[in-house]
Amino acid sequence: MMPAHYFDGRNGRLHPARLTIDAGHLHIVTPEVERSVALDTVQVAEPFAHAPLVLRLGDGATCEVVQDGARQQLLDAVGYRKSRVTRWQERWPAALLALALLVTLLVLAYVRGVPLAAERITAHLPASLDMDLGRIELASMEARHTIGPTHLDADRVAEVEALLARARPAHPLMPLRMIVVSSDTRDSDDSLGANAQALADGTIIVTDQMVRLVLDRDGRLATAGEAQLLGVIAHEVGHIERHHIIRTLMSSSLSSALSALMFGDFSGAAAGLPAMLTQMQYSRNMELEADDYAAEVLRRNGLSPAYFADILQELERRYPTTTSIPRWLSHSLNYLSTHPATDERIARLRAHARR
Amino acid sequence: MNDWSAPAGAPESVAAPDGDSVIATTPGTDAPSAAQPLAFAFSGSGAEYFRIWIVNLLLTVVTLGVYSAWAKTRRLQYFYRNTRLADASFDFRGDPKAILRGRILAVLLLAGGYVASGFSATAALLTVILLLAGLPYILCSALRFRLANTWYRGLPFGFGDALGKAYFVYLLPVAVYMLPDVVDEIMPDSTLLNIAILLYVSLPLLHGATKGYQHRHLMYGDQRAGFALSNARLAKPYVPVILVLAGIFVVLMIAAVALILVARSHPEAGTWLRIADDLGSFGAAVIVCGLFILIGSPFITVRMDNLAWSATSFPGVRIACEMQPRAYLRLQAENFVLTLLTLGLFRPFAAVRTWRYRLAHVHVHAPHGFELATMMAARPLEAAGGDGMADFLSLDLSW
Repeated sequence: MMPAHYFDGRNGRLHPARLTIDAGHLHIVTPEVERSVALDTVQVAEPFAHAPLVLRLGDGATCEVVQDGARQQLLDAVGYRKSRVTRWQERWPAALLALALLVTLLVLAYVRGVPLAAERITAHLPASLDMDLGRIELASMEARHTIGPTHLDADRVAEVEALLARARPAHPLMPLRMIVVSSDTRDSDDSLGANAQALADGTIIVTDQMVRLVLDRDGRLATAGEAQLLGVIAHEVGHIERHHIIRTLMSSSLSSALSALMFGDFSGAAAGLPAMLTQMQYSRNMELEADDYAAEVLRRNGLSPAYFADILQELERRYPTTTSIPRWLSHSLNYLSTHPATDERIARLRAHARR
Repeated sequence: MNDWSAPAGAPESVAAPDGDSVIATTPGTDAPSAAQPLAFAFSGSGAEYFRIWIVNLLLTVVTLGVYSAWAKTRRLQYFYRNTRLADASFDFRGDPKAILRGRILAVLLLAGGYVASGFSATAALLTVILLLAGLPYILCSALRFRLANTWYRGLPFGFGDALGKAYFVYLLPVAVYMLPDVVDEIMPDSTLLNIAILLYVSLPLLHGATKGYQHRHLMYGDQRAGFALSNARLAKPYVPVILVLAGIFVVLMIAAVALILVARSHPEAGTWLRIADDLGSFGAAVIVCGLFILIGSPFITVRMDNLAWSATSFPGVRIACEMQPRAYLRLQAENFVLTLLTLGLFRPFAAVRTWRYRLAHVHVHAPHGFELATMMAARPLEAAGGDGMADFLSLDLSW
């Protein structure tokens, strides 16, 4: 005899009932009703540890069983077998394993899956997208007065622009062009300073300050300065040649989509495209790839990769990577960071030069 | 913050029918002592739900979201079946496949709209119009699906046929909200813009109308809910919040003006002048908006829930909902901080805490005995057909 509550499905009345199991049948006895149903027609809802057991009878009637012993007896009688998911979520070790698996999966998805997917997608994108993106970014920089017309004299500009031909690969992925711009912006926070930047459409921007950095005392572009600037330009060509811009854009879009899915936060996914373009950072691998390309170009031109290391060092001296993180911490974080420290890049280029 | 109350919405809707447990077990002895209000009990725990949650999450990620429909079903079943009132528990009987169908449809619609809007401005406009035309239908059918699959004492809850009103109740607030942007786009610098912005005053009332709509059409079995509260009364919790925030805004503006006047006469106080300038031009508005989102809006939600549930009744059954806005806000703030600190692992515990809090502050009065009241509720006639339709288009948007 098992106590239960019987609901006939016709109205909301609770009938106190007694259940018995006999000859493959479930017998239900209430003060008003007496009925028998074949056990194999009884459906059991997934049981939870402290919730009443719910038996669904074919005609819309239900029984709720609270008593622990009775619950188990009924589950055995109807031959209820726990699903694998149910057994999984019942045990702590298994649940914690799920947590570990989840974390591993998310980390893998972020570290490996996202860049891989980004690469695959990039390979299938039309070339017109590169053009559009480059145009958008240039227009957005001009609109915010981040860049303006160059203040250098025409001879210098021509000399700098001539360097692009020496950094050009034999079969470029897309037509390359170079523009020299000033970065005297109204808002100092937004200043590019001495910088070079590659855009998705094959445009390379070099700022006046960057050119001035390599001019000699007489304001001329000497051999050493030329070699340094060639390294910088070749580095940017490397980014373009390997599709780094659009791959980074894809990665960050996918990451924000992923985090939106996980945490329901769509702010990242909804951020504007120009904002994303200007805020993005190349991954560690991409920077090193572009460095390798720059070293190769310098060698091809009969120059040492050390020239590129020199200008990186000079840039680091003038514009130290501003960080409030203590030095010891930033060193250990460097292994985790997706962006390589300039020190590391310089050391790597010097090693290249010695080879 | 609504997000933390994982199974939000439904079980409160379920709170409707009640019975006195004593009477329930001994039918026919409906005594006057039944006037004692009935409380809800919850037998689940954060630790138990954590295990369900983490397995659900993993399987959802592994199946790229497909499992989320089953995860949702199990989550609702866990919360409903552990919730008891007058010796009977609630149950969720939704078909995960129906939820999955709805989700696939939603993803296809959104992706299609996104792609279409990339083609041309006309296509984008068409997408927005289609989305708006479909929105009330989707919201209404989501509500119907959830309720029609919520069972108590062998009977389903339901949502009365009210699709026509859904268009009024859901589209009007969207229209009022978007109007200033539209006016600005079509006729820049027109005085009509000010009038359009002035219409924002009606938003609390429209919110009240939406809330009232969700309660007026509730059903338990074949019984329709009674709801004796006007939309204006429902919107009342907005009044103190708006008054206080307006007061804060005025004080901030006065402070900004005073600061500017003082700083002007002291040329060395440049920074202060800038701060005062920022405060006056946009800072005060930002502060007031932030206060509204963080404190005002949850406060209003809790008080509107109290009003709406306390005004909802079924034949022989009255509901009383008395959540404390401050306590609820504190609970949600704690949940938020702990969830952040544990990188999300506290989320299932937070969901259980919120659920418990809500249940603990709802009571059910059945002056003539609960058993009598539930006996009067019968299985709805159209249950079969209505359920099928709701099942087919169950665009359940909550995660």
